[in-house]
Amino acid sequence: MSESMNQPIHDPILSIKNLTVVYKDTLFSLKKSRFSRPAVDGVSLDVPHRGTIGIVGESGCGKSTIAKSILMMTEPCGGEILFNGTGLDSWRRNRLAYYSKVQMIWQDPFSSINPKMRIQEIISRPLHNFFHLSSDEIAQRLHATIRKVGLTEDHLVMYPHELSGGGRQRVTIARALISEPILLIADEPTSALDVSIQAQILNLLKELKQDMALSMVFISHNISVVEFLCDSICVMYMGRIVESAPREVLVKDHRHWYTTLLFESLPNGPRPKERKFKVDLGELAVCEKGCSFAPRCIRAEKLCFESSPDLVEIGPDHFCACHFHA
Amino acid sequence: MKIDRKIDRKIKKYINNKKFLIGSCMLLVMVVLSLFAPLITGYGYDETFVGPALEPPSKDYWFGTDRLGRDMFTRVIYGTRISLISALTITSICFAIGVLLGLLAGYYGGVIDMFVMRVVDIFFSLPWVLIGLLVVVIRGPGLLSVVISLSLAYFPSFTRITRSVVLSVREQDFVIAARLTGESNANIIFRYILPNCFSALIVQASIIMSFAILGEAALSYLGYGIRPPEPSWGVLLQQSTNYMWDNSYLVILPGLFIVFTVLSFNFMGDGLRDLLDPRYKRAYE
Ligand SMILES: Nc1ncnc2c1ncn2[C@@H]1O[C@H](COP(=O)(O)OP(=O)(O)O)[C@@H](O)[C@H]1O
Ligand SMILES: [Mg+2]
Repeated sequence: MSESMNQPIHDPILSIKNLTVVYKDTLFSLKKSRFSRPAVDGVSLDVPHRGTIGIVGESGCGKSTIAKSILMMTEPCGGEILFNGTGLDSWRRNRLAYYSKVQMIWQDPFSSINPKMRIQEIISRPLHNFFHLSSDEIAQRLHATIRKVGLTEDHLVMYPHELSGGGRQRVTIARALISEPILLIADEPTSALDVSIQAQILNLLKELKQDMALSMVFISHNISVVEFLCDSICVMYMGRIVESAPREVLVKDHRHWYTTLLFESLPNGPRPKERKFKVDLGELAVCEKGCSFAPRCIRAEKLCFESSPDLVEIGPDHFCACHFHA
Repeated sequence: MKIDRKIDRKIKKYINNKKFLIGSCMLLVMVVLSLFAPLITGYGYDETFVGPALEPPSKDYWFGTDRLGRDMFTRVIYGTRISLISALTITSICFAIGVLLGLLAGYYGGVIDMFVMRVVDIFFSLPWVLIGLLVVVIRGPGLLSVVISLSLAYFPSFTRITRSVVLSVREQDFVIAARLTGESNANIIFRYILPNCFSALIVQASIIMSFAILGEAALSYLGYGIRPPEPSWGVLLQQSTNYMWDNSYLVILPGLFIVFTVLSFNFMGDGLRDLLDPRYKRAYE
């Protein structure tokens, strides 16, 4: 712990460069990766120290794969990831140190905690594994942490099934934060929760981010959730970043048609007057050569099916991968 | 307060399950009989000519007497001791070996899985009588031979069940999350995976208990197992076969004890299977 305090913190704290991940199908794998296209294709992004980056996109676009790569749970096929200025290849040799600084919150609070462990054990296990602390110190930090996430002492002796979804998600947040990490990956932490609880958890994360000086990668399929929490937002489609910008810019001046679609898909989002919807064969229609979004895009022209647009800077910190971004 | 009520509800759930209740009561009768055997009967199990030989059941000799005038009731309830103890030993050994191998095979997969499962398949494919015969040829008859041969015969079922449960538990998020909290492989296996396998294993353990009782009786009957004068149920049956046409009580009564005990474990197993099945819980709670 003290070691991480003394170490100078590198800015950006996390830097992903040209990450590419391809899932290789084994003979018996249940999840067949369609078309054997990469799940993540040349993604680059930087997470500034104490900043929050949002990744948004429909399910299957590779968001979780990025999270898994950051946490060294998949082997990347290309590109590199630097944490605090050091490549993951070096961190691989010292996983405990890495995981004490980089932690994750999961989508499903029902499957991500051990049903046969008491809450206090679930939350304090990281301390036992990462640090050599006396039982007093562990108890002290346990109590401090549960107070931070809004659990009470009564919860400590319970088993997970006695808690609601929101309560369980607080447990996973406490488990992730008890080792005082500097980077938190949140993979759709609210999508399995009731709407009323979602807001509580989002507010909690926002508070904790401030209090604990966290840097965060926040993943969601819901652009309004990302908008609430993040300083800048990356929109992903089929394994690629199609648009990224600081939050205000992305909300007011998004240029990619897919970003527009994401905003329009919100329950109280903007409604276009005439809905010229391309038939949503999006999943099936894959354009091999050109822009992968072209089959679903109303602006698509011949060019879009022939060449894939690069991610180009079209404004300060505003990147867009569209031939017709203007 | 709250916890008390929760435990209450749990106990009620078990009592409401008729099969489990009947099975455990039957088992309790057997355990009490075997524990308090010296208090229940005044005779020794090996005391000859406590009465006339081959006396049918009567007020003094509830199950009659055998050819040496030994009290059959005494011998049968002392036999309960041997049966329950050997069944418990066999099941525990099977559980320990079988579950450990299943955890290793399921968790590590690959070559370890391949090797362990082929060894298990070999024992699975051998009939238990054959295994018993082999062990007896090697190290002579006796209780230890029974325990060794039945343990070898029955541990594969634990390995298979454990492995299949581990394969599904291993993929759950909480196991992956455990790795991120810095848990070692041993901790993941014993703190995260094993506790989630128990419900399937408890049911299997009760089934293996009944198999072990039958197996011990059969091996002892064949003369591979417990030797006279120890009054195992198998020994009692074997010693009575010559007289069974005229003195049928000599085989019927020990036989009923075997049936009763095996049934008690089967009922308990059936009840536990329902009680530990999460779908059942949802439907009946
Ligand atoms: N373990 C896996 N094996 C093979 N393909 C996978 C695996 N996990 C994910 N995929 C595929 O990779 C793509 C991206 O998945 P994922 O990163 O989980 O998307 P998201 O989190 O955005 O919903 C999907 O097409 C999915 O089918
Ligand atoms: Mg996902």
